[in-house]
Amino acid sequence: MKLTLNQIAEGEDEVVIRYQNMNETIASIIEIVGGGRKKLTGVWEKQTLLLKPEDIFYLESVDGTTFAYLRDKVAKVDKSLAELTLLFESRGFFRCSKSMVLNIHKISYLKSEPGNRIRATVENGEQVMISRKYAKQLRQILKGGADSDEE
Amino acid sequence: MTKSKKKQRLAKFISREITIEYKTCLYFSCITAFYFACLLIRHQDSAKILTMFEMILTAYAIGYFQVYVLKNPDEAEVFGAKEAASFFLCSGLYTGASYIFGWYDRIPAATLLFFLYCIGVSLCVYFCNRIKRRIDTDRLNRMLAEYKEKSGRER
Repeated sequence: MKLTLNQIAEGEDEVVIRYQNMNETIASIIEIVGGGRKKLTGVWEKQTLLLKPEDIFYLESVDGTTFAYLRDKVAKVDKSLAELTLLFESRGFFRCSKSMVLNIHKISYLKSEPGNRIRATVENGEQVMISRKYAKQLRQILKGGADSDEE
Repeated sequence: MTKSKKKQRLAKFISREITIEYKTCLYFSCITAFYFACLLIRHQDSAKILTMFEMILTAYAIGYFQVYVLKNPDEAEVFGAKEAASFFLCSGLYTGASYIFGWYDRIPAATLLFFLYCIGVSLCVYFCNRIKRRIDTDRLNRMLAEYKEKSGRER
């Protein structure tokens, strides 16, 4: 990779990244320049995309392959759900089943279901049933965000 | 079978057993309330231990039947024909037990009233569960909104 540095006398510091294809190195540079905010690379229609976590509705593992579901795209991600949960749990991602990680910020409605389960409606209209085990974790995460905590 | 699968199965089994315990306590307290009311109407102020034991065993047996066979009709999301049939069946079983064990001295009027009472109790439990879930839904959505707001402020 060619590196060009230009020192300027005045004006705002600027980083211009010129790339042909998005890859992990470019993504890491973007992450550093972007103030350490973790981003993710995914493949959609043979194109490598830089995915912002806040744009991801949920992540799903199908036959060992992880997919990130966005508003109008489904990108293949080369990280496991466990890795992604660890990476983005501080950004509102939580494991809602064995094969799915949900972005809490993309949940539009929650419904209490029999057996202490929760049905989550995602902004794209998709409905996800969260089992008792994971529902308990979701409640704990949400309680951390609630000011009042009455039972 | 892996260790985690065994653990999951055990957790599911324990959870079901707790549900049965809860149902047994609930229905037992309701049928004893009716039994005590009947005794008081007849100016009797003492209850038979044996009858109470029969009642709790009946409540256990029907609790198992409700959870394992009928799949918790009183916790159903919607009230349909299946739930109505389940309520009639369970109330019939309670009434049958009351007749066999002679809880109300096999008096037809008291037995019929007990049957109607059992249906009423089942409906009450169903609606209480529904109201409980509605309150929980409101609370969940309030917590979700607060979580999003708090996270938005931190960003």
